[in-house]
This record gives sequence, C-alpha cells and structure tokens, in this order.
Amino acid sequence: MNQPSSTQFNFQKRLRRRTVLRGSGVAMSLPWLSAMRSAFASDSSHETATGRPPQRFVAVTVGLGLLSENWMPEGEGKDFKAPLYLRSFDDLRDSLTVASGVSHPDVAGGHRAEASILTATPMGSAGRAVNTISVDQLLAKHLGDATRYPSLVLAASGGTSPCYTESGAMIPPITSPADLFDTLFVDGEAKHRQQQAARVRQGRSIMDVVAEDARSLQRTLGRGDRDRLDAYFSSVRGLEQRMQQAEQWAQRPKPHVDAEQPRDIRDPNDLVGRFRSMCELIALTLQTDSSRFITLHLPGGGGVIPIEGVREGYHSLSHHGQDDTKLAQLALVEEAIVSQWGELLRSLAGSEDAHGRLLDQTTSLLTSNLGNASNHSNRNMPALIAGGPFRHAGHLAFSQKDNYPLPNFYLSLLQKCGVEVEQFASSTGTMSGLS
Amino acid sequence: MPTIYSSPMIVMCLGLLYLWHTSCVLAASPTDASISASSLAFLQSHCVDCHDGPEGEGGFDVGSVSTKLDHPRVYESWVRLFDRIEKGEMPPPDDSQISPEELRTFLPSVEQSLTQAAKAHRLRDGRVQGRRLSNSHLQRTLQDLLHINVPLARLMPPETRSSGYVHLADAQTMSHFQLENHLQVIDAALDVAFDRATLGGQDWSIDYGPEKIANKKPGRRNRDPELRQGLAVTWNSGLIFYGRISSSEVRESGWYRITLTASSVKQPDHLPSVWCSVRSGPCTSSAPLLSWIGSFAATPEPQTMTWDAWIPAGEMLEIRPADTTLKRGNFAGGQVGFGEGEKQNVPGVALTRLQMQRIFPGGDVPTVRKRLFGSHGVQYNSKIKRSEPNIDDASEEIVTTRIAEQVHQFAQLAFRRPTDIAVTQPFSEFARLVWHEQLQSGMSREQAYAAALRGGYRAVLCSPRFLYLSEYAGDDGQLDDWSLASRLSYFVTGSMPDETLRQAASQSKLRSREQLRQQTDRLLTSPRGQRFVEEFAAQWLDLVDIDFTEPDQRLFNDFDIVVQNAMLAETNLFLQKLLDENRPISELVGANYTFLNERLARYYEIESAIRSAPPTADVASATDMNPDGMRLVSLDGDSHRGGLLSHGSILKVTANGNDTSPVLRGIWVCERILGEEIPPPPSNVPAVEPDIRGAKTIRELLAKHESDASCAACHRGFDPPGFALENFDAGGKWRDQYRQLVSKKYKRGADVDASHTMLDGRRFENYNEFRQMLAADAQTLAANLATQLLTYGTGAKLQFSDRAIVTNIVKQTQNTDHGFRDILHSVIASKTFLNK
Repeated sequence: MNQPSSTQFNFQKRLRRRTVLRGSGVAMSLPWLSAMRSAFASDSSHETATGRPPQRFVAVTVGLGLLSENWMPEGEGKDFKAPLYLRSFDDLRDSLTVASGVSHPDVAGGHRAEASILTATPMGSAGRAVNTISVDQLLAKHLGDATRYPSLVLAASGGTSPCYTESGAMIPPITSPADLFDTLFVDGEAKHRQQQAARVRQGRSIMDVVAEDARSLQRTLGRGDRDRLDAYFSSVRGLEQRMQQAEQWAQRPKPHVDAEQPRDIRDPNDLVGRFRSMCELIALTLQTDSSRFITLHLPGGGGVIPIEGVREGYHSLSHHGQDDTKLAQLALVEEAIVSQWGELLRSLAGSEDAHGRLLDQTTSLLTSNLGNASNHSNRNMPALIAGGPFRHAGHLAFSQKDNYPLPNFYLSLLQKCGVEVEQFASSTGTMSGLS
Repeated sequence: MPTIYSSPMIVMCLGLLYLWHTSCVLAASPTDASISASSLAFLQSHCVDCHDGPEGEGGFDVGSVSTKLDHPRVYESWVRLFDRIEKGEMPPPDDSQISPEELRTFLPSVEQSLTQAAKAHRLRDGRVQGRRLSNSHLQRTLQDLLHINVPLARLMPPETRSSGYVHLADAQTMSHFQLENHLQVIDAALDVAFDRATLGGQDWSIDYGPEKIANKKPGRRNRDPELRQGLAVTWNSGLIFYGRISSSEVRESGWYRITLTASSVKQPDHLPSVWCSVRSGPCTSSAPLLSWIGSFAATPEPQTMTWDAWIPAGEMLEIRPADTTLKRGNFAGGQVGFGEGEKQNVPGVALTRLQMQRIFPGGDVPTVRKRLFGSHGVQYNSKIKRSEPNIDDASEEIVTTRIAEQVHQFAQLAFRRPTDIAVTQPFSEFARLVWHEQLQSGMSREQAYAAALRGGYRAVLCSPRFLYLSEYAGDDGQLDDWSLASRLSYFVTGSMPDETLRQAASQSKLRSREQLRQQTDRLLTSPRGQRFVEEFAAQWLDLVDIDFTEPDQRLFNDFDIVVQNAMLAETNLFLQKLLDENRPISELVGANYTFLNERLARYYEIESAIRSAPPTADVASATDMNPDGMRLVSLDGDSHRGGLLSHGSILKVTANGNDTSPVLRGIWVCERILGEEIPPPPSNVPAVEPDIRGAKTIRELLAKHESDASCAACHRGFDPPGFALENFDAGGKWRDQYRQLVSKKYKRGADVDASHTMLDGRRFENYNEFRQMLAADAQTLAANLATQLLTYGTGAKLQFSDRAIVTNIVKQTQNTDHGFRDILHSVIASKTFLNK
C-alpha cells in the first residue's frame, strides 16, 4: 500500500482548523477534506496516476422492496412528476436518476435474492450455487487500499448483508453505530490499544503457524477435503494481509471528530432510527475519508416499526394483499426510509473539498431485491441512483415487461471509478441513458 | 440462457435448467462411468420436440446434454431426468407416449450408470468433504473444551440454511472475515476461561421478600411492582416492561438460578389461573428487547417455581401477567402509580419471594484450572489479586517442557483424535516463543507462563484440525474410529466426543451395531443429548423461525408469547416422547394425543381435553420443574389436534404471519414430512398475489395452475397437502370460514374447502381424512425421517446411491412399525453414516 505523501506535517494543528462535524445534518463549507486526506488517507495508485477526484460508492439496500406506485415517477426524463416518496427531493433533482423496469437477469427466489442485490448472481433455491463478488467489494479490492478501511459493510439490524467475497462468503455486517464510531474515530486507552495491537501481532504469527499446519494436514487428506481447505488457505492469507494493513494504520491516529459517540438504539424494530444513526456515521466516514465503499442493508423484520400510524409488523405489511390500511402503513415506513436516504445525500451535497461537493464524488444507490414484496417478485427492482460522476437523467423508464439488466449500472459504476473491467455478472454493456 | 420463456413448460424444467447452467464448484472426478449411447438416443428422440436448441423449453437443450457423469452437475441433472421420467412427469403424459418396453430398457440402464459413477466417486473422495463446525457446534465445543458455559454463538456471523440445515458442507463458506471473527470468538472464550481460572467464581445471590421486590412507595409512579397486602403486585397491562424488578439487576453476565414464589390476584372466575411471563432485559425505553425465561400459571395459592437463565450484565427480571385475553389496566403517561391498578379491577400477579443465585453449569474452578494449567496447581498473588499458575522455581527447561506438554494435551482434545508430537510441535513451539517474548518484555514468570499457554491454545483453536471435521476413511470407505466418534457426537450432542466416547474410540469399540446403540442411548441422556430433539427439529421443521412473524393483533387477538412458547413446548415434548418411547412413525402425523397446558388448550379451544387429563402425568411432576404446566393429553378421534401438522408451531412457521398459502404449506409438507424435494418456481412466472379483499379465493387462483398441464405437473403434487391444512389459520387456530376485509373490518368470508385429490388419486374430504391417509403411509414417513436424520447427522444431502440405504432402514424398522428411536439407531448403523 502507498504511504501518505506528507506524513511529516503536524496533523494535530491542521485538525484543529477543521471546525465542527456534528453529525451529518450540519453542512460543511470549509474545504477541509483535502487537507485531512493527506493525514488520513493515501491516494490509491489509480488517483495518483490520473489526478481525478477519488470516487466513492454508498449502496443502501432494502430487504422488503418499495411500493412501486410510490417511487416510480410519472413521465420520463428530467421533468418527471415526483411520486410520493420523492416529494421532498426537488433540491436533489439534478443529482438523481430513477431507473424503473430494471432487474438482475435470472435472479429469482424472493427473499433469497437478497444475496444477489449487489452480486447479480442467481443463487438458485437450494443455496448450493456459489455467490460471486459484490460490486462494492470489487471496488474495494481495486481501490480500497487508499483508506483505513477498504470497505464498510453495515446493516440497521440482523446479521446478513448483500456483500460477498470472491469466494462467495457473505460478509457479516456491523450493526452497532456505537461500535462503528469506536472503530472509526476512537483510538482507545493506550493500554487497551497495546493489548489489541499485541493480539493482532500474535494473530499474524498464528496465521503463519496454521498455514503451515494446514499444509501438513492437506497432505493427509483426500482430494475433496483438500479442495475445501483451499478456501481456508486463502482466508488465512487474506486475514494476514488485512492484519498487516491494520497494523500500519494502527500506527497513525484515527481522525478526530467533534461528534459524540452515538448511543445505539436497542429497539430492533426501530429500523428508521437505526438507519438514521448509520447515515450520520456514513457521512462522517466519507468526510474523514476513512472508507470509500460503504453498504448499508435494511433488513425486513417481523416487528412493528415505531412510526406514528404504523400498527402492524413490517414483514406482514409488505404482504399487503392490496389491503388499503396496510398499504397506507407501509407507505409511512417506506417514505421515512427514502426521505432518510435523501437526508444523507443532502449532507454529502453540503460537504465540499478541493474537488467540489462530496456528493459529486459519491455515487449512491438505493435498491432492493424485491420489486413486489407482496408476491416475492424480483422483477422491476427499485433503483434510485444519486451523485457521483454521472450526468443524471431523471426518470429512466425501461420496460416493465422486458426488464433492462441492472448489472449494466454496476459496470458503468466500476468503469467510472476507474476499474478496468468489461463485464460484471450478467451485464450486457454499460447503462444506457446514464453517462 | 433465455430470459423470456414463452411457455409455462418451464415449471417442470426449471430444476434442470438450474443444474445445467450453474458453474461447477467441485473438480471433476476421473471415473469412467457414463451414460450409454442408447440412453442418450432415447432422450433425444423423446424430448427433442420441446427441448431443441438453446431456445428449448425451460432453456433445456437435449443437444447440450453430456453423458460424462464425472461432472457433478451433469450427474445431478441425470438423477433429475431419471426421476421425472420414472415418475411419469416427463414427457408430459398428454404430449407423448413412451412404450413400457422402451422404459424397461432406458431406466435400469441409466440407474446402473448412475450407481456405478457414485460408487467410484465415493470410494475416492467420500460423500462428505471438509465439513466445518457450525456456530452451535463451535460454541459447545469451546464450552466443553474450556469448561465454561457462556453463550458464544451470538458473537458469530449468522449462517445460511440450505435445505433447512446450517451445516451442510457443500453450502458452507470461508473467508478472511469469518476467520477474523473466529479469532474474536476464541479470544472471548479464552478470556472467560482464564479469568475463571485465575479470579475464581464470584458468588452472588439475593433472597428478597415482598418489600425488597416492590420498589414503589405510595405516591410514586414507575414500572416496578407495588406493595399490596404485604405482597409485591404487578397488574395486568399492555405497558412495556411494567413488572420489572429493579432490585434484581445483575452486575455480571452469567447463569442464574431463579426461584420464585407467586400467586394470582383478582383472578377472573372463569379461569383456573393467571398466566404470567418471566423475562429479562435492561428494561429502559432505549432497550425494550426482553429475553424469554419462562411462563407460569399463578393460582390463588402461592406456588414456588425454578428456572435457570443466562442474564447479561445490567439486565433485570420482568415478571407480569401475560395472557392477552385478560382485562388490561390503563395507566397514563407510561408509568404506573401506587394504587392506580386497584380500582380498575384487573387481574395481577403477587410475588412473595424471589431468590437469585449465580451458578456455573460449565464446571467448577478446579476443573477449569486443571484444563488450562495442568496438575501443577495455582497460587494466589495478592499484588494482582489473581491466582497464578504454580511454577515455583522450576528451571527454564522444565517450564518449557511443561508448556509443550500442556499444549500437546490440549491439542489432542481440540483436534478430537490422538495426534503426533510432530503435528502439535509447531503449536508448542509457538507457545514457547510467547514465553520468551513475555519474559523479555518484563513479565513475571507466572504471567509469561499463562500468556504462553493462552497463545498456544489460541493457535490450536485456529487450526483447520479444530475448525473442520477432518474425516478419515479406510480403503473400504469406512470412517476410522475417531472420525466416527466425532460424527456421532456432533450428531447427537452437537459437541466434541466426551471422555467415554473417546475411550470407546481408542479401544475400537464403536464397530458393532450394539456398541453404537449403547453409546447413542447414553449420549441421548446426557445434558447435551437431551436437547437433541429440540436442536434437530429447530432446523428440520423450521422452528428456528418461530419468531420471524408477528401475527396481526386485529386478526389474532388471543395470540401471545405464552401461547407461542407453549406451542414450541408442545412440539418438542411430542417429538421427545416419540423418541423416548420408540413410538411408531405413523404417530408423527396421526397421534391421538399431544402436550398442552391450560393456556394452549384454551387457545386451541379444547379446554375439555385438558380437564380430563391427569395433571402433569408424563412431564416432570413437581410444579417447580415444570412451571409452564405442559402435560400429556389424549384426544378424541374426531379432534383436529394431535400429530405434527396440527401443532400451532408448525402452522405458524409455514404461514407468513397473517395469511396462509397452500403452496408454501404444501411444499413444506412435501419436503419436510413426505421427503419429496420440490424444484424452485420459474423466475418469470408471477407468484399468486394474495388479495385478502376477498375478491378471489386462493383456490380459484390456484385452479389456473391445475388447468394447465405443465403447471399442474408440480402443483398437483404439493397443492393437495397445502389445501388440507387450510382449516388452520396463520396463528394455528381452527377456522371454518376465511376472514374477509370489508371496509377496514374483518368479516366472515367464504367457507374453507380443505378437500383435494392427491397426486396418486387418493381423495380426502377434510383435514382429518388427510391426516389418516398420511399416517397410513408409514413407509414414506419413515423414509423421510431417515433421510432428514442422515442429512443432519452427516452434513450432506442424500444422493442417488443413498436411496437403497434408506429403503433398507425402512425395512429394518418394520417390526416396531418404524419406531422413532429404531430409525435413529438404524441411521447410525447405516453405511451412509459409517462411511466417509
């Protein structure tokens, strides 16, 4: 990995120049970001070569879909008529593309397709198919070395994420904003830090010991077992590498922010409250350049979401069966989710650095595996795209019957970010209508 | 692969489609077995009309079919082809006529090729490869290895279930994220063990009378109980964590034995008791989540009950009436003032005495010390207020030898087999390295010694020999003694082999059917083994999902958490009885008895059944051992209850909260009870969108499938069992009519019609007839149970060549009418279980 270009400067002093960072609601006008980057992030080789602003990606994935009549605009192009959920998005219109009539080819299985949201790989029903790398992890693999954390995998609750490694293993998400804040911004007591550092160091030596052990074990095993152990091997190597990077970053202090450590909302049903807490940390993560590739999953739980007017469990509401009272309650939940995403975009629009608005360096996608949760359909996925290096197109209306492949957007994204690939999953090219 | 299908034929072919197009994960095996040219010719001549070229029906192209069975996907495709043709599902009966003579040549030839290929493959690679410990396995193994009893699984990333099970080797993944998490888990376990060995056990107990339980003085408003006539009383209300006992907050996470004496207050005349719940939680508004401990029926006479529960630091008990049918008190502003409940005339619970005591079910301190530090003991160091391993003035050489011995011994246990010094040496070497490092960094010898052992154990616990069940087999494919001991132990107890099993393995005493039977019976009575049924059913029957949906209160106004837990207890006690008494498998669905308590009987609307049942007959007799009052209840022949399919737990997990779907339930019955695997639905056929406005019934919607020959091929199989259960609503209650939403209110809708005709032509008019029909087919039920047990026990799905084994198990258990326990024993004695 690259070393920061100006490690010698007195970052403490520089940091004090940065005014306040009190959560994401506060708009930042000082061009502080570039000043801090030299202290905290090293530019990945790609940027150094091209001199382009760094590219970031934030995906928000919803487990239970969004009611299409409430997010799909009327009319096409920039002059679309805002649907219910986008009523408050007027200020963001120029940075927004709503793609309708898109989905992942051949991906089915209702809730099971959560595994495919960011990989676009059909998982079959028996779960025997092996998943492939998700777009955020592919970005992190190529460009993630620039920041302390190559990627962040977050969820409002639960234990699943749509993010997968190259070997097809799901990456467990962080669900506690308090823990995440600690991870990102708190250096901890020296004694504890030393203990942790010592354990990480010992862990690295252990990886050497067990890699050797695995090799001797493999010699005694049949071929099938040996193949399985290969996954263990690459995990050992991967962890060793991660630990090495972590050790290097551990020598540098974490960025200090004036925001206080958030208190975790312990009510697992408070999906929107938990989403909000995470959004505030996502903004701080991007502002301090602690990571550039972030995903946040909003799982569909069974409980009642504490929003005025909502009385029934979220999952049960999603099976609305066209019942008006359920549809109305579901719309309250979903509008709160989409509006909160809008708040995140706004806080990025309000942060600037030498390259301009943070929003223009951050592509954000709000999507779901379900186009219709009531019958578990994976066609016609919601795809709301904002920010980043795109010339936004308003409403891109593809055919509801003959869906356009969403992996094409992932390919566009990868290429815009500078990853030189020609194909992602079942993509057939880059996204038409979005350049 | 085509994305648009023009014909509904895909319904039948999707399974094939999926198998053909998924990339290969296993390397091909060099067997010569292949499909004969004549079989291929048969396929081409009969299937080409519909399945020609890449645009063939369902994307299946006969031209692309390979005959090389060494490719796993090709192999599975042929199994599926064979099955569909053998069952007469393909070609569609209306479209094609195949002469019986042709079939008589084709089917045996394909069967033989498939069997040969499987045999060759198995001899070389075995059936199960590289199975990893599941989360639950890992938790228990660490607990047993270190003599600790902390829950660790909650620190682990959740697992995906494949065909119901979390530990199928083929579906397990590994990544550096998981390995990093594994390190954190073993650090947590080692921290607890070393603390316990060096700090000892912290004794803690409370014994409170009503004054200490009630934390509400006159004039105060909070959510604690109040003192009323000398007892601590909590009234019935909907207020969250009203009934918390602030004085019961624990400072340390741990296991606690809770002993409670309680009675009912203002119990309604029509009820024999007031049902109450015991839960724990932080009981603050930012943390409303509560963990279930148990339920009890409070009567006017005080009773004493006992529970053991893990309670995290900072949590306290909440004890309150928990019967949603009871009249509720109204309290303003989220608090309950002293005396405010009295005048509302609502039921309540009165506590006389609460005792809590910290317990250590994992083992006592000397046992933990012996495991970690060996037989040399510890001495107390008052400076650091901890005990330290006793090394006195042992020389450097003696200390390093001891470290090596200790790590070697630990590794033997962790690796679950005798292990050469050469194998454990890198770990001992590593521990010695830590010893030197620590000494150099200025640590005391005692501390360095402890750190060295900890480091050595940490490395051992990261080894693939610990993480994976490395199963070794002889030339005949049979597992060696130690692999078998582990397989048996993880199957029955979900943990590593115990001392007795290890001895049996070392003396090669796990060879005969009788030895295996003895060990299995012994393990089933151990504390871990007593949970075998519960663990197995959680996955087999999806009971692990019982909490996933929360029924709509408007539709299910008498469903509550006490009912839900009674439902789970009903199923677990029922299955335990089948196992303990070796009951005939037909009782699985046809039993004329079940387990109920008063609350569940009232929910099922069969209170009369429980009134005639002898109190606490089969379950543990004393109230304090059986606070939730479950008892064996016999049922009339015309009762709808009795048998698994009438259990509320099953009916709830197979519904989606508010609605039932005959398709979901039908597939569930086929896959979990009848042992028929159903291929996934095609991707572009819309699911039936439920419309609870009542414009169309689900039967009308599904009728469309049955009128289409291609859809019907699958739906005819699973729709009937689904419809048979339609009389049970999503909350498990019996219904004669659907409910229909009319202007925002639920009204009585169309009559339920549960009649149908099974695929084989047998007709049933209602659920009871369906139940009898299933119960009469004991062989199918037995074969399914054997299949489920083998899958769960070996960590791999059954394959074509296991079919004969299952048939044999069914035959072997005939003389006890396929007794539940006999099936288990036969499974364990089967080649599929004994071979790799």
